[in-house]
Amino acid sequence: MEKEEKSKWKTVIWVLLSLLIAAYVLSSLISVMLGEVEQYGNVAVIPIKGIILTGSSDGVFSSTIADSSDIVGYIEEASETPGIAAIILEIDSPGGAPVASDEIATALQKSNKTSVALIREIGTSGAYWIASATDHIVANRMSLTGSIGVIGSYLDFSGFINDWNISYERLVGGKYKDAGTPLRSLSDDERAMFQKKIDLLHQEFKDIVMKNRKMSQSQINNIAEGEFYLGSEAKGLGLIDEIGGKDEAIRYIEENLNITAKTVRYEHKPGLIEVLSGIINQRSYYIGKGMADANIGMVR
Amino acid sequence: MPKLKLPKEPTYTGPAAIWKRALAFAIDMVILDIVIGSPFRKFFTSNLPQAGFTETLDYLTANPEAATAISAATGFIGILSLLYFAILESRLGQTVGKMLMKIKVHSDSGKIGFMAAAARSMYFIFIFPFILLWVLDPLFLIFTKENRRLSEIISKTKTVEVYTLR
Repeated sequence: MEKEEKSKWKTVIWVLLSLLIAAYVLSSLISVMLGEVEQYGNVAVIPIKGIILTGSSDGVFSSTIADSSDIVGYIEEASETPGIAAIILEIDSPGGAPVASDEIATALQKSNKTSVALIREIGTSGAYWIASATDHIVANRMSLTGSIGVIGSYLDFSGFINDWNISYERLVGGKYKDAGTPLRSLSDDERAMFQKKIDLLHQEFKDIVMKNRKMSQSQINNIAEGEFYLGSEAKGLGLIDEIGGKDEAIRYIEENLNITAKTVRYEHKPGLIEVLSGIINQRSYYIGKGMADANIGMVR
Repeated sequence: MPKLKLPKEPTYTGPAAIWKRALAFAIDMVILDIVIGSPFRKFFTSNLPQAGFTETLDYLTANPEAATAISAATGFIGILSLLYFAILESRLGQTVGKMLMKIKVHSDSGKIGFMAAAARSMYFIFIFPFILLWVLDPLFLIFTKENRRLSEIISKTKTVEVYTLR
């Protein structure tokens, strides 16, 4: 009788353990399979980390690149989600390509949601371009921001190849076709042409910031010389609206929309295979780098 | 000392008292909440607004993907709960709650099979028409002669306890 009772409880424990394991497996499975479904929240937080480019974020340097296509996708998704009331752009970027920055800024302006830029460590140049397109900019007093300018500088190797008795055979159709090659110096014409394009881009950048931040021409001219500013300086110059962090960004949204904010992150969550391939890529990169460094050392 | 062969007390197997069945069910629900509910808890708290019914309904209407995920999770919980009752009742004739309350499941045809045990717990399938059993089963339990739930009548089973006649 006692033996029978023991066997009963053994069965019960086995059944309960099996159900517990099954419940854990199924709940994990459903979370993984529906991973792309955003968790509940009414404020979308979209991180912009690293150099802003239109390129793919796959590969060894993916963690340092903010792909504009991905970010635009997240902005559009958040905009189309009725449950999302506002968007916070969490910026930690030194800027990047003008087209990539403009794509993100345009997507933001097309969105019907309240938007806030939260500049963390750095939000300069193209990243500031994007921030200026939001309704409110919050930055830490020590954040770096501004740097409204355009850079097109590059290394000129012409002296180096001359020293090694290598010549550059110029074969072009169109006098500006190889302008900017690092293998020869720029002509005066080419320099003027490049400067003109850079000035045009700079003017475009200034016009956008002026319009977005409702500044006067003289105000923008004073701050758009490529200088970067600390958050505390930027506030006085009208480049940002508030000194603070995430709490201040959320408070702005809550006060303006009269809601209780619950944030939900819109970002790419790498799967196991992606994490593993990332580690392998990084290892391969450092092995290659080590070999190259050793060879350069030998040449020296 | 020689063992005495005393006559056994006369017993009678009859329908289990409703309060015992209710208490057994409550115990089983607590166990299921711990074993099956807890792994899903984090999923629900992060996918549903911690707000009232209307806001939750609005959220799910606006987010069909989230609604699908919630439905899938609820479905899994229902199936696992059904399995708990079906496995234990078909193998032991009792769940933990019933063991503690000393009541048992009997089949009209002798030993209770897995399918009959599963049919007893169809109310864990959270879709129409099974969902109606949450209302019909207690009504049948109260108003039928042998206190049998509708699911029990369908599965040809009954919940009993052994009464001692003194």
